[in-house]
Amino acid sequence: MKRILTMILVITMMVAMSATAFATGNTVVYDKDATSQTSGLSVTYNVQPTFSVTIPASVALDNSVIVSTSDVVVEYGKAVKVKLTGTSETDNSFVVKTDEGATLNYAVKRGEVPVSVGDTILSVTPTDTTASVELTFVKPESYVYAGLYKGTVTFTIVVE
Amino acid sequence: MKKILALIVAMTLAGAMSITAFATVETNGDTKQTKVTFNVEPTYMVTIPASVTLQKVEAVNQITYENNYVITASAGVRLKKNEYIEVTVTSDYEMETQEGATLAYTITKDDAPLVDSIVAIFNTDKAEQTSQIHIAANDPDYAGEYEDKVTFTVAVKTASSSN
Amino acid sequence: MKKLVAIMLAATMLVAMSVTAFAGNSTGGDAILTTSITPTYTVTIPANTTVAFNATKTDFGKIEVTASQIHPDKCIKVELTTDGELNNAIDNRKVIPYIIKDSNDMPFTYATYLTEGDKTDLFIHITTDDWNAAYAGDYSDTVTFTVSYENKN
Repeated sequence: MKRILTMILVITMMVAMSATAFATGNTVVYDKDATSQTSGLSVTYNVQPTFSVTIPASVALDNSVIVSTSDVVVEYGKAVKVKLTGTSETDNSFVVKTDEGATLNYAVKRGEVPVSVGDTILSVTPTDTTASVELTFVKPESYVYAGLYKGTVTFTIVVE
Repeated sequence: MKKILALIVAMTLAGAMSITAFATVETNGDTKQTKVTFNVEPTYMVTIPASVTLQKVEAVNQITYENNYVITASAGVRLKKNEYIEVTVTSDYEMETQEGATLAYTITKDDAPLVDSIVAIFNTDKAEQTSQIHIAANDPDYAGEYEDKVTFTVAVKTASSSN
Repeated sequence: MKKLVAIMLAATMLVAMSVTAFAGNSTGGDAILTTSITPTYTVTIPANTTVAFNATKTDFGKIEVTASQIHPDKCIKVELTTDGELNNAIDNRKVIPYIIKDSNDMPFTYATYLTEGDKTDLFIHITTDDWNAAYAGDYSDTVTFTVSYENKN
């Protein structure tokens, strides 16, 4: 019983996962006098691009976060790219502010490499085994005022 | 079956324990924001000496009893922007002996009467800060051990306008 | 799979741990103001006085507190000690009796004083009969004023 169940499950999953396939064909009539006959059959399989990118909703300075992708299916030669495209500042500087107006500069790093606005932080193709990147939000060495400093960074996901 | 069950339970637990929500993006060209925060707690240490004894000062035709009193904010006062520390004094400005003799005294700062009983104002600063007040009394009618208790109150205030 | 779950847990914990700075005490505190005033006083007492022949009442000056800063429950006591007899310089057995009295004609033995300005005027009284009975010669005596700091009665 178990084996049948397993097979049914597998088949079900396969069916669920399948993309839509189309087959078109011609009707061939056998001519007894022909030495050979050929017939063409066009087969197509359309796969829609899919992917999932996980972006952390928040981070406190002096901490790291993981940006990851999964289930990447895109056209051959293309990749899912995650880019850091902006901050909450009009000049896109890495600045957090308190409600009272105090400001602090911070940095974003990928390992030891600084990240700038506009950088691609993650690029994943369907065959890539690495599908995540760790970003560190580095606090400043000194700060003058107390308070709750806040800001945002914006990530843009593109397939190119 | 057990293995699948175990995996599901583990993932559920991980999901339940996380306090950070994750945004999932599945659309080409979509953008998501990550909030960046940093909380710096205020810190300060104000030292108020527990006692002060007025000393006899003899001048021509005059005897008074006086002394200075220093309130200190340790190095590294850190407040929110536009905040400051205000130290005020509460006193009846009269010393008294056990026998009932009284002696009035004054508290001044920078040779001027206190304003709103403020004896010190400290701001965010890496360096130590001090504020000195002067306590003085005239020569009393009676001898004796005079004493009074004053209360210093420390409060964090917000300036009315930002700089 | 285990590795992925582990990373998620770690990231969650990092975000939850915030750094807390210590805010020192400072709601305020009491301070005790003290000063110690040592009692001081200055008392003047009569100087040497010459009594004129046959004078029945001679001004002997005064006891006076010229400076005083004493405890409110204390007083300055000045006590007069005398044998009440002027002694002949040649023969001290020959005497002229006298009494020191205050301005109310009350014999003075002691008085207490509280503040600057308090005083007692003193007079040397010798009766006419004592003058008439006196032998010729120079007479003198020494009186003692004792000043002490006492509790008020």
